[in-house]
Amino acid sequence: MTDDAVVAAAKRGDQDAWVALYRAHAGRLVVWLETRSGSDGAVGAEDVAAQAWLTAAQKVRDYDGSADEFGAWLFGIARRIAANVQRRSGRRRTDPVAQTPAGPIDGPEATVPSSVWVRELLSGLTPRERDVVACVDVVGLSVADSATALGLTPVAVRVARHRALRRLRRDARLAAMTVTVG
Amino acid sequence: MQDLRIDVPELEPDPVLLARLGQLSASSVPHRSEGPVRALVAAVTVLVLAVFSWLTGALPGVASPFDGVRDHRPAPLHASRTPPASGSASDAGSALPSQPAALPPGQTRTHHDQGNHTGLTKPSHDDHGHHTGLTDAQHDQGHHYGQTKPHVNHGHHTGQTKPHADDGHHTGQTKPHADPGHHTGQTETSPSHGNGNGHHT
Repeated sequence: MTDDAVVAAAKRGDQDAWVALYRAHAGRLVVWLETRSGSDGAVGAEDVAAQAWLTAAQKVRDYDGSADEFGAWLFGIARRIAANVQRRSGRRRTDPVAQTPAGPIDGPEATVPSSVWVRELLSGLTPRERDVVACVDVVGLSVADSATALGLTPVAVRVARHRALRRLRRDARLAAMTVTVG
Repeated sequence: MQDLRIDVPELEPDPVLLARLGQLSASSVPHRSEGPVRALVAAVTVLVLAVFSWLTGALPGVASPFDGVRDHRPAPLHASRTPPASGSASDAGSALPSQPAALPPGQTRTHHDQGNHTGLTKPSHDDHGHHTGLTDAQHDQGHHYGQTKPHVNHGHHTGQTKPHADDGHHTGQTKPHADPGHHTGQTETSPSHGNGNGHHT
């Protein structure tokens, strides 16, 4: 597995290469982070994503792979940063304030479509199943890349995805029956 | 489950973030060699601590090699022997044979002991334990089992003994010696035997 031209240029500090990598992976990284649970309200998915990009730039010399596989490596970095944020928020919890800003404040990632419905749909799954479904079915990573991003084996990813989809189908049938009876 | 797929648009990086990414990537250095180096440093550290603990005897159940050398160091063969006290010489009588100048390694030298010995004993020391086996001339009041060499003894002997001044009881064949005690078994005649007060069988 050798570096392609984009990764090799990114290692040299070429900004055009980083633009290509950012366009390919930044959007689904934010969506994936938004679907994960346990994130602190004071630290948004965009903050974790930005920190993941900076960490990836610092450690890009350690990466061996293509530009397509760069996403799995980047997702793994983001997963560890999110875990650190979650541990830190467990020690120093933040409480929402009563007064909110008058109008919405758009961040740099405001163009990402809202994934609230996906988060609600996946709320009945276990954290591992939710991460797997979000990687494979929501943002479209392959099983191998999802395994790399989540620190699992491909078999574990397939098993977790199978159980998650079966549970989602069962919940969907229950919801349909409830609607029919009502 | 294709309904879960979200059409994610391409995002443009912020110029400040892009400049920062280029700067960090240009100055990044590989860190892969740290793993083996750290493992090697940890292994060497553990080895040094283990050797230090072994040498100092800090490990439970493992004796220090320096303690072993100190405890089992043999006494020099040409070491001056302390002459027997006048009182003990008079007690032993004049029938004691002359002792050799030096004893072979492993056999004991003169020491004052009141205990029993088992096995070959070390050079002169004061001991109150039990010994069994070959012993050399010694002032002993304990019990002995096996062959013994001449010594002043007031204890009991079992087995063959060599001539010595003894007030104890003997069982088995004995050689001529000055002994007022009781004898059981065959004895040889000796002019130095004198008139004993014991009974001979």
